[in-house]
Amino acid sequence: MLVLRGPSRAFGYGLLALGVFLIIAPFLWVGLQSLKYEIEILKGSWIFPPTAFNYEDVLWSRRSDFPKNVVNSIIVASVSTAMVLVIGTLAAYSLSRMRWSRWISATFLGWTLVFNMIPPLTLVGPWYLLFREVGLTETLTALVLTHIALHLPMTIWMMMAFITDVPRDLEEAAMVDGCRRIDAFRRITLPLVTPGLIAAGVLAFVFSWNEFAVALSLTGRHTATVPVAIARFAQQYEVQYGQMAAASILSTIPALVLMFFGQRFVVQGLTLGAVK
Amino acid sequence: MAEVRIDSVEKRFGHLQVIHGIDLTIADGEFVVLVGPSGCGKSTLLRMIAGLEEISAGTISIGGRVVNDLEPRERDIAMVFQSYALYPHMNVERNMGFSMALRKQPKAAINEAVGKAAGALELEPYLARLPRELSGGQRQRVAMGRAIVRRPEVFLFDEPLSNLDAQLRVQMRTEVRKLHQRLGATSIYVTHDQVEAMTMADRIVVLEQGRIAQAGSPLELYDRPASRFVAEFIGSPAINILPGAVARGAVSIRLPAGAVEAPLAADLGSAEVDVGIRPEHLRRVRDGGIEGVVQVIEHLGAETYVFLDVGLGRDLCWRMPGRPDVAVGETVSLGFDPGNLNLFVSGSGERLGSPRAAA
Repeated sequence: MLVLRGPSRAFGYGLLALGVFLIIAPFLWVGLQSLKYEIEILKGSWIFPPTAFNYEDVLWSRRSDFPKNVVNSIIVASVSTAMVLVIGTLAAYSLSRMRWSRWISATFLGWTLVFNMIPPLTLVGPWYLLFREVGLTETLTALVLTHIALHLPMTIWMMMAFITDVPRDLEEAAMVDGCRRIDAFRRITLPLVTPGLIAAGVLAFVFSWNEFAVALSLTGRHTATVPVAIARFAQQYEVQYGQMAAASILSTIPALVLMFFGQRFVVQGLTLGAVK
Repeated sequence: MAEVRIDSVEKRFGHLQVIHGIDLTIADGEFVVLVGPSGCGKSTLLRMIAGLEEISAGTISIGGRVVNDLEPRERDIAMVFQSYALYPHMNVERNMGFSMALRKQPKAAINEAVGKAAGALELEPYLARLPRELSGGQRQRVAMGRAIVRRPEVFLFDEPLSNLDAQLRVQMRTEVRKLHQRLGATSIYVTHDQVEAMTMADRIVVLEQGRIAQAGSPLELYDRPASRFVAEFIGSPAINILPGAVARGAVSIRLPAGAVEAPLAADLGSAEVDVGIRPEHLRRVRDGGIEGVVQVIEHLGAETYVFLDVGLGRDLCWRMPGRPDVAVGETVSLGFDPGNLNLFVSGSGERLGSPRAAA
């Protein structure tokens, strides 16, 4: 544990405060805008009569698609997260436990790594053409598929760290006790990597929830997700600053809730193997 | 209960061969200890019997049934792991009853079996605890209890005591042995600790680089080791090895201070040999024995180990009963009964032939 004393302590707290301010300030600023009428926003005033108009307009007004966008986002994020967890965990288990030849596992893991390093934007074009060919443009299915592809590498790497951490002996003991391999996986390994599943799940969900570039090009008016919807508040002739701010604040709620509950596991997941 | 037969079993990891054609039959109810230095293949052999490693060549059968292609769960075995491998998310009771629960046995039967095993192992107060809330010794007993509840044909132990402290290890050694006497199940026990092997085994199998160096009762191995390797591996403190030669019915031990001659009961021809003398077979003589300067004296109470420099670079160990009447720096002459010598051909390390057997 690093202990700071005297002036360095004050300096340390100063740095921390600055960091927190840099992260929180834009968020607070957007929060403030969401409580102002359009005119107050344009005047840039700091003192203003607060209003819930923007929220009401975004959530309940007849012309707003926002509730529909939220439903779309929930569907895409939940389905893609569930699929990513199932596929990723099984893949990670296989890579960690089966004695694959080094070439196979190295190629596979190398590919996932490279894939993770490519900006998703480069894939958007090909994906658009692909999905147009098979008639899936502007569907949630297409978006779910791309989100699975995007978030699978991260999940595999994370789950591999967790699974490798479970001693092989445990599964072997279970197999001697009477389990088939699949039972040993289900009854012994899976319960022990639950923290990993939570961590990977939270991350995959939040990433999918926030994903913008792919969603923008693959969704239409009826299938737009929340980030796309927020961007659409800025239109050619008018920017609806208030509504945009309100929608932004609303859109952070699921991620905040998930992070709040999953934070412990996420931190553990990201640092697993790093500190022992 | 069952006999375990191992026929010309081999194991290769890629190009690396770790088990070179092992033949071994373990009788029904026998307690066999596989012992050897690390890397000798003893754990691999055990894991092949358990079905956790594939068999590259040969057959293994349990109770007359070839098990090569059977899953571990179909072999009717129980295994105690070095790490204990207790399921961390299950309490002691569920850990012990897991195998029965998998076979969908009635709850009452599981409770009875677990209760009985827990009683025998003094685990009753801990049934509701998780493994992480137990001490090392308790975990070890839970691992044993889990094996007992399984009621297998064959018990397999993979260095089960090596994570315990010395005192507990001695205590658990007796426990394991008692357990075997009570259940009478065929048991195969792997250890690198030759004291464990000597004290627990009906029969010891010494492995050396994937081959059986010698198999036999503990005393057979101790008294008539088949090779220098076995002689040096079995016995603590280790056997003394001195250079020498055999010719015309006598052995001559070559020491820097001069040769020490002793007659043999039989003419074994002539050969360069390594002469093995157990530390307890040395006794003090007035002169004409092996001369050495006392370097270190280790008091064990009932007996004493005296280490002497005889000019060979490694010390000669002399094990004497009671308290020593020598002091560090003193020169002592040690004699021996030629009948107690173990002679190994230099180089190959094979046993030359026992003077005692010939006598």
